[in-house]
Amino acid sequence: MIEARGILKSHGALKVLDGISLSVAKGETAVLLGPSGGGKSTLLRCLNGLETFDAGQIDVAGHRLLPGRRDEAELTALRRRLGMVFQQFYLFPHMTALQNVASGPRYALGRPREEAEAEAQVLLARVGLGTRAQARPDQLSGGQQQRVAIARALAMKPEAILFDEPTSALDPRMAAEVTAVMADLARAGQTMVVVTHAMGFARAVARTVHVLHAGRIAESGPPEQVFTAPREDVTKAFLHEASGG
Amino acid sequence: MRRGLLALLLLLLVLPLGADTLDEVGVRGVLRWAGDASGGGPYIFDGPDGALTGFEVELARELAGRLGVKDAFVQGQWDKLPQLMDRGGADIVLNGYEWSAEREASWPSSVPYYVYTLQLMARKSDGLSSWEDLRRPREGRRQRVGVLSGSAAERCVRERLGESVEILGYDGVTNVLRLVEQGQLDATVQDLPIAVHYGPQFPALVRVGDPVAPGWYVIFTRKGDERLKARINEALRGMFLDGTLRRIYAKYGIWSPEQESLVAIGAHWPPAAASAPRAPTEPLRWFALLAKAAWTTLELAVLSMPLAMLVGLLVALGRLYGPRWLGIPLEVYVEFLRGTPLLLQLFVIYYLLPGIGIRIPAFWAGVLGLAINYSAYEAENYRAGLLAVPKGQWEAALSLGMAPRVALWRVVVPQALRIVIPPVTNDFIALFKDTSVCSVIAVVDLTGAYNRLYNDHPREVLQLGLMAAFLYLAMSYPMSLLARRLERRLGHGRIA
Repeated sequence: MIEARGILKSHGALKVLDGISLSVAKGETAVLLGPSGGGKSTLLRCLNGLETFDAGQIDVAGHRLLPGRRDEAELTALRRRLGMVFQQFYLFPHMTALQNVASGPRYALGRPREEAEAEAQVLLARVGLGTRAQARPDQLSGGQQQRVAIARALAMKPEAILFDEPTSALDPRMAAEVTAVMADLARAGQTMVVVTHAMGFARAVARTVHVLHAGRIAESGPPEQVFTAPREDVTKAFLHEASGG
Repeated sequence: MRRGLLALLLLLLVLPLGADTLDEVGVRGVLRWAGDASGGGPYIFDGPDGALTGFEVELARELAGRLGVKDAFVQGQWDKLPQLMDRGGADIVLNGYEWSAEREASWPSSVPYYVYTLQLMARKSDGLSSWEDLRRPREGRRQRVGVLSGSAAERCVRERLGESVEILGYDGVTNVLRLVEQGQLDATVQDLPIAVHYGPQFPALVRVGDPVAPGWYVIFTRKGDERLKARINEALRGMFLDGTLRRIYAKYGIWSPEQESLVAIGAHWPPAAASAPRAPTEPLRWFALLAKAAWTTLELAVLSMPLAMLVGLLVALGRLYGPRWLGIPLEVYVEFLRGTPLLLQLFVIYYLLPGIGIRIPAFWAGVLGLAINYSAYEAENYRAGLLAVPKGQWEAALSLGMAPRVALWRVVVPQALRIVIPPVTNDFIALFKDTSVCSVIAVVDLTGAYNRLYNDHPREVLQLGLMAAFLYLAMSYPMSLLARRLERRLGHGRIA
């Protein structure tokens, strides 16, 4: 489903991504862990073309991304098959929750409003917000907004969804609402790549955990292995710090 | 200067009673006379050598000489010269001001120094032969007659032809003659000296019929300056009797036999006030006039602002997201329109475009001018608004698979429109007031109508001012309320 090979990206002398390779299978939930500045978000944003890279190649949802200039039309086609959920939600403030969820099918795919909104209503119910369809984003809590954002991504029936620190801007109770929805998706077989600091989620939901450090993948493996028997010093140090030690 | 001030103070101590500008003039050694050089020839204009010239310039010099002082010209806007004098900016007003009972009541006049008549002028090619010919419609509309705003000519046309012609008031003279020449106006009525002076410069125009409706040019003084007025009258009589006036007038080609009547008329000056007592319904008529003009203001603003917003938005989008080659022309568009006065832009649209065959009726020229001028300001508002939409909004829209153009229209532009509601509302209210600039192209908005009424009824300043202020408020306050409601309703779209 997602196959990134040898991705290199630098800002001047700083190598943000230093020849990273990553493989995510269909139906897999992959979690990217690691200290801040390790390149997790950058890698994620390269996968759907929000950022460019200097070397390597990415095969994702039937499209191939290469360094250099991009064809906007192809990027648009790729993004229709690949959802993205942001740390700051980025709901459209001038639309209701329902309109936000229906916005992809309506404006990206040109589907009729009634049809798109009927499906959107189902998706809102699925994330537990069936009764808040007419609310504006600023009338919703952070957790509710992020769940609307997830429903908005789902509305495009994407082959995979990228999550960029989806719970970092939320307090623990609201974060739990969001991770519960994500866990449901994982169980339903949705392919997901999740950048997060939420260890609990990684432990419980991830099939594979990748630890990124200094633009490289330091260690990959199933969560039970990575969390209980880390092989690399980088992983040990990160887990030690993350557990508040 | 300081010595003059000291002398003035002493004078005030010595003469606490019966103070008269004449004493002040004597101490200063200078008679300050107010006029408007932009009114043109043959009154006051820039001569070939750059120095101020004209029959009134020579008249003022001669007059000051006979008062034993020097003269100093004070430039003012023509229709505000008496106010300039009242504020102490000048001692007298001397600039083709016609005598009227209304004016006499506020500013005592000297004996008349010139008998003017009004001359109808039209294009030679039209074959107009009399005033009555103006009543015939032309191309299915009323004929258009241009006049100097608030002048005797304007009143005369109104009295003689009434509603059978369209009367347009302007601030200048040569621009009106040019409009007749170019065909935007069908005729004009001017004081005879103007017809004489500018006739040779507009060979396509002819004088139609004999001059009509004689009246008198007088010098106005401040109330209470009885002694100054008496000295001026004495000097004017002297200038008439010794032939000085005739010599000056002949030099400018404006001497006429009627001038002989000046001495006889001056002997019983001012004429008995023939003005009927004001009808009790007169203020109602004023209010109706002002309300009609307010409607014009409203129409100008309401038609031009949406146009300005649309063009502004397109310009902003072009600058931010358009092809690179479009950037510089659009920047020039914005900077040029912001950097030049609206007055000038209206002037170009209305007076100069006909020169290349584009003729736009005055009202629509006003709408167009306001729209174009304000589009530059709106373009900057929208540019700021578009840039203020968070980058994440773009990314979210693109990530859903919207093409960049779709993301712009569906996500970014709607938010930018909300962000700019306050500055755009501000500009709308400013535009309301800027409609008054349209008076240069004879579109009478509320300010224009107020100025005219005030000119005719200077004593009613308070009443007229209150009426105009009320009408402005009645228009702009609902606008503010509407904008506030709009903001509140759309304000839900606060940016996260």
